[in-house]
Amino acid sequence: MTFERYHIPIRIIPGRASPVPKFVITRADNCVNCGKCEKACIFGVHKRSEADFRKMSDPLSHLCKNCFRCISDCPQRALSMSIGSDYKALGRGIWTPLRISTIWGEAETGKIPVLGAGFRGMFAGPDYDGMWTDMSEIVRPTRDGIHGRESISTCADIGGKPSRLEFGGSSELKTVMPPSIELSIPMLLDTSRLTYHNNAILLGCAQASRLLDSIVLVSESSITQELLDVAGRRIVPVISEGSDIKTLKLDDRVHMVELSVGSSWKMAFKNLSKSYPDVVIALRIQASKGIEDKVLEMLDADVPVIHIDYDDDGRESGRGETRHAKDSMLSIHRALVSRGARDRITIITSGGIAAAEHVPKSIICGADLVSLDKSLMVALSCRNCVDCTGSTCPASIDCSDRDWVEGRMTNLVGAWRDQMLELLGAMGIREVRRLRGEIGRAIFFEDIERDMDAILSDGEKHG
Amino acid sequence: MHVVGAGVDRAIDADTPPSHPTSFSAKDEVSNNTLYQGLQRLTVGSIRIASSPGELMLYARDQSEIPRFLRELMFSSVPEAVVQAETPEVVLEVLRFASSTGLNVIPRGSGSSPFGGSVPVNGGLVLDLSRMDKIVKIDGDAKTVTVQAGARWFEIDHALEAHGLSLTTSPSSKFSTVGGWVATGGVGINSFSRGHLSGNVVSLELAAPRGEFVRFTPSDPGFMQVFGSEGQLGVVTIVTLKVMEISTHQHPHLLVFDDRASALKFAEELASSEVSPVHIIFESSVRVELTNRLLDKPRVKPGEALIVYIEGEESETAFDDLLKSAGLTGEPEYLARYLWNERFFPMKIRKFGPGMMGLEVILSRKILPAAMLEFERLSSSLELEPLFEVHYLPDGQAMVLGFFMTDQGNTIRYTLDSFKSFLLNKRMIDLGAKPYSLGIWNHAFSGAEDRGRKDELRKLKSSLDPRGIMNQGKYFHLSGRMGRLSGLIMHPSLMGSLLRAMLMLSPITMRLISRASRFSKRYLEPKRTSKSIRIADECAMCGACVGVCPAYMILGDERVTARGKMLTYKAMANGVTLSKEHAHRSFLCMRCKACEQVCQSKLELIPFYDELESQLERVHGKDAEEIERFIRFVESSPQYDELVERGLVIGAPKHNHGGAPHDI
Repeated sequence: MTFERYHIPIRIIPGRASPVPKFVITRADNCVNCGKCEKACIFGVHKRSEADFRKMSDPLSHLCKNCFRCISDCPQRALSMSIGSDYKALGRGIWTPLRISTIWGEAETGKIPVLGAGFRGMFAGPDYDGMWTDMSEIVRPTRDGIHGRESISTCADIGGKPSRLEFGGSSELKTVMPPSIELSIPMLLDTSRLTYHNNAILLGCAQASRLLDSIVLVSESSITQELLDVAGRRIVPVISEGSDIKTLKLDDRVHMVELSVGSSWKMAFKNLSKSYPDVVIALRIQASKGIEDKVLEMLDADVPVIHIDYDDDGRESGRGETRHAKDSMLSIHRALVSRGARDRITIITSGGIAAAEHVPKSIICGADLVSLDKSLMVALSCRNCVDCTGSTCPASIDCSDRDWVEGRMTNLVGAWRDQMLELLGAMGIREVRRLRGEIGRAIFFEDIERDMDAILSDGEKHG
Repeated sequence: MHVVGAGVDRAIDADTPPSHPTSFSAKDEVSNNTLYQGLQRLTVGSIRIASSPGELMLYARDQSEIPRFLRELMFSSVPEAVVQAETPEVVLEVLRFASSTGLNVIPRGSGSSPFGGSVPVNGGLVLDLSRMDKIVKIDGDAKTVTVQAGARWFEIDHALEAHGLSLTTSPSSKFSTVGGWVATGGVGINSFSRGHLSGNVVSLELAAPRGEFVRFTPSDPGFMQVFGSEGQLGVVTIVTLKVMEISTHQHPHLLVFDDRASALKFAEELASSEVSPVHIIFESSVRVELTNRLLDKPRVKPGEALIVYIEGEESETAFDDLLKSAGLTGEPEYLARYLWNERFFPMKIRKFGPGMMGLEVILSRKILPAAMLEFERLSSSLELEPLFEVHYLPDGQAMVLGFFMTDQGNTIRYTLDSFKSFLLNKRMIDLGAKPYSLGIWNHAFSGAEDRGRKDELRKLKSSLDPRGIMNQGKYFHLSGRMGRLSGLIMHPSLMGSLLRAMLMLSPITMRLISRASRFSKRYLEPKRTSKSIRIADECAMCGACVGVCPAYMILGDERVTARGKMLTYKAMANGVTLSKEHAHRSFLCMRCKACEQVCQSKLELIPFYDELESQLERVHGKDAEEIERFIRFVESSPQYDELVERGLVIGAPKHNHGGAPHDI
């Protein structure tokens, strides 16, 4: 057996739908087929036609890396580049075309994306973009991230932890240890929130969870024997709100269960804990105003795991201007810390995780683990259309093969894990557990802005 | 083409061309005749010898389509070999060789004249000079340009433009060669103010068959003889032309008159006025109508048109005054500029036939109205609708181009029409006109040539070309397949009297001819099986495509050009069996569409090529490997690089963004 420090197997899994190029190269009619573009392009956008070698074939725009060399070399100036309209139409909200195409690339190659041609965006933006991670420890031995000498642990635990251990007279442990699960990565796959899924996609996710050493959340009603056979204890049923707990029959292999709850949850939680004492029970709630109080309430009821759902843009539900997960999570984290009970509870966050850096940023804001949902869909070439029905999908997601799904998801999570490793390495942190709530290692744009305002207004006062 | 900057004196052959792509010449159909071997033994410079039947076929004609019976019955118009020379030294060496063996040498430029001057009548060796095309020197101070004889006018003009200079005069086909114009005529655009070409030449050099270069300057007694000598004296190799600074004020004007008399009257007034326009062109109403047919809708007012080209503000003011006093107003400027630009594309209207025939004569403007009237009268009795383009010349002369439409696809009609053309020609000559060029077809009218000039030319010839190898069987007498017998038909006295008799008996002749015409029109509609053969017939054979074809630049084989492919298609349609090599040659194309862009008949060439290729492929297959090798070879050629950077078609829009090519 070969030793592998980091466990995720990566291989190239091309998309099944035709690529949506960002840079669309257009060849005008005045092209003289001189072949200069073929010589100019090192990415293979321009080739002579195989059917008739004398003619240039249509440019393979998806290979274009925006270098403009063909355009400047064309003696006829017949080439032009534009940002593809299909590309611009990708996604909505925080799911920008750039994020979607980046996820596609990650799901295809499993590699850290390199955007190239310099960063021409803004240095700050709303939500997670207003949060910068401190990379000042880039000189430490961990600096080389996945290639470094020091191993960086990405393990995360799910389950309650007693605040202290009690031992008997003969040194035996007297504390009853609550059930818990350790995952190799702080990310879990959530199929219950996918806009579309079928058996193949669920099976593919289950297979991926094995490769990733993670778990996969599945709506209780969608669980099949086959799924349990594939992933066994990695399958986490998600029980919808208001289900009859008493009639619930969980498979023996189930190790963890999620219970979606609204305002009344105490009875259901109590019943479930009683029926399944060895199963990790997570309560899943919709984030909204006053979520901190709910969390504290659950803490008081000894709920070991809380899964907090934000919407697809990472916002709390509710009317008007709602908080983003970043602020919401920070507030929850602070509430727990001020109770001195942060370690007694596991917080899972989901929603609005649209890029690799959103995972460590969520963790910095106080999450123990991040649940991936829409990003998994995008990894399957989803374009995030408004009118998603599955059967009219431009990427024909409904025809996905389970092994292909497995590969794409493994690649995506692998790429995101690698980016987290790079980030941890640069921060000089050797363990992702320690990143949780490390707001000291992040810079928030509002803080700087406030500080700057103070300095400026101070200057005005005195000057 | 290689352009050498102004003032830089460089030996012509310092720039040795890259070696010929041997990988393709492996495909050359090598002929083993002794002539080929003899030529191969010549050891000077770069030389390309063509001796395959397929390629020689292209040199058996020029711009005009020769009625088949004449071509096949009377003359051996297919040469035995073609030599493409790239330097004057090679030309001289070939002439020495020919002299020693008594071989008939026919010099050829771009083959864009319709009179047959560059077409063999007795086989022999065609000396293709279209690749000896360097612009040797542009002298901005002395205002001269020195070029090799194969240089094409459009290339010279383009090179001059970079120095703020332009040509003083040029033929109406800018795709013809300098040497060709020297040898055939010298009358053309701007001749009205700038005179005959001979007045615009500083010096010229001739490779004489006696084995040396002979230089002529205007003061030399033989200088004038060289112009219009039709390849009898030797081969023009180097010409130094007068050039001028580009005028800052250029303005073409278009005047449309209701009747011809007032148009000609005003033109006469203008010609003798102080306005001194650069050039005056008269276009008859039929010509104007065809121009309108070429446009998307009738834009030019119907009538008899005068195109007047004015340079300089003084002249412009004088012209305005003249217009005012005559109570005339010009047509919109854009139309004037359009028609002025179209002066280089007289063959465009040929597509309405498809086919065009007629005459080019020089006559005194005194008889111009009467001559046109007579031409029209005779034409109408021959059931033809003629059109005129008259270029005004100095000394009260004019060059009249009188055309009528014909249909090349209908052999009988075409043959009859060519006969009618003889009749029309004859009538004009009788009225006192002179043929512009003799070639083969105007030989019947060579009697109108000045006898004294002929004698002088003969004298000069005997000194320069003592063995008489140059363009045998033409000019002085015409001979062909049956020796002088075939020439006899075209002999001035015989043909002349025959035509005279026919004209005299015109009521009967005309009735016969018109009956035959009607018969042929009705029963012998052109046998056009495809759109492609129509396109091939529509082609004006002007050779514009040859000058811009990168594949031709590399291979030197005209079969790869649009004109060559037209002829290939026609040969195929006529049942000629093509060799596999010939077929495969047709595939060697860059698909650059330069030919399509430059085509004055605006033919859809690329679909035509696809059709031709699919037909050839059915018989001979397609050598994809060779095509790839060829493309890669051309791509890596520095010559091609240069050409692409310059733009394949000079003056054509290089891109679709507007602006100059390098103002990114």
